[in-house]
Amino acid sequence: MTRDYDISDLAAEYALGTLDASERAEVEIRRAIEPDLAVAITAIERDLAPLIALVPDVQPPTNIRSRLLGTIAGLGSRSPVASKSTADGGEPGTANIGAIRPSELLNRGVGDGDTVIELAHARDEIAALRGRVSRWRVLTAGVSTLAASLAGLVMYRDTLVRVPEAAPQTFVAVLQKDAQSPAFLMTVDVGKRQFTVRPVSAKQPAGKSYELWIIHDTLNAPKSLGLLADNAPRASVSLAAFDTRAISGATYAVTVEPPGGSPTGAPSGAPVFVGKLLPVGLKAD
Amino acid sequence: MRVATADQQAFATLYDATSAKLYGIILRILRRRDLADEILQEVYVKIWERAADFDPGRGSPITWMATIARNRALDEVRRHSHASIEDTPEALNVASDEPLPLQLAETAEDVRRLKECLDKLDPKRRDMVVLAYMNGASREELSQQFGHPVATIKTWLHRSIAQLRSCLSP
Repeated sequence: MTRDYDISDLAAEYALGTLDASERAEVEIRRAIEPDLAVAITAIERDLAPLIALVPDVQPPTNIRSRLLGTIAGLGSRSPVASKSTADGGEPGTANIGAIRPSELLNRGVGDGDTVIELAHARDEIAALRGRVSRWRVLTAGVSTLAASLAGLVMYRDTLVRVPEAAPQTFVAVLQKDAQSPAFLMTVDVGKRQFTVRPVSAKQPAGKSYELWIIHDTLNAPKSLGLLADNAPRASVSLAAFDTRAISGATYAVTVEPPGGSPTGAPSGAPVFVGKLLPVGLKAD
Repeated sequence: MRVATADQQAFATLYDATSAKLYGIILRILRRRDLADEILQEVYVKIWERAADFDPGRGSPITWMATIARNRALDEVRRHSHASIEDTPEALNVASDEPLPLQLAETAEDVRRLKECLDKLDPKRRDMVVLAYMNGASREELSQQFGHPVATIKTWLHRSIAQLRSCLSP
């Protein structure tokens, strides 16, 4: 029984993976109804996560990819946020998830592994949902919410981004400091050589301006793309001065500058937010 | 002619960027390709369904995805004890000084810090933690491997994690 455990020891063994099947199932239930345990698990998971880098990559069989894409196409975009974001100001997501009471969770016992695991995250999801809905709602124009979320997943790590070999027209980039702070979402139409930037959670430092830069090997130095406001999008800004290779391969960076922008025409300091482009809306075959 | 939606395209990109890592994690724990294939697919379907739930405040996306993969693989391996630790004796070498397979520059600093803290543990206890995390070793397997009762292993694991966490906390 996991009740014999100290919370932090239980969280440690869960995150480490050494609990047996029934203990794991119990923890899955308890974490859904005990915030202390949930927080402890997440913290230890995060502390140990760098070990993931030590696990050697192994290429999965190639047929899995096509099978998965087929499965996904069949499922459709059942993104919770995509469907819930329309319920403005309502109680998004609580209709189906919230209907399950913690007591019912416990009564279901531990034998039904997958169901238990699915249900176990319900409370966390509800708790975090409202914030997420408002955060991601900003992203919906021109890009579906799920695509934006997936794009976000990729964009949070520059190193995971693959430069597309095909010739897609629309790209998005999340400009951010780190995974905690997506600041601006940038959409680029490479065909028209135009971009739009929307603030996500950027807060402008008092008495300063945000300035956007394009950085690419083929340009001698970062080139200014103008100022960004934290409360209004800039739409259809021209990139006609740059070729498509630079536009699609560039790093986009935001610096903090004196009001009105850098006086020298070059960034005054290190970027506070950066991002690269990810294609969306690609046509396949 | 098939037209992929933006969602599907983004998913394919995500898959290409992360599947080798997740498959490596799952295969190492399950040690059976047929099972690993199945679990990998389940994990990506889960990621697809939950993509909009990803909360950047809780860590990086690869951590989130790897955690889903690890937990799913661990559930599977605990429910049916498929393999024993003797199948992968090389597992003990993972914490050695060989160059780390790091493509992710961003994590290098995290890995370095964690390795430093791991190296402050008694070597046996460090190996236990690494074996448990990377290979999904159970307490019983660790008990066999290291020749100590399960209760002792348990206590050591608790202490090791507590020590690691205090070493990691700024």
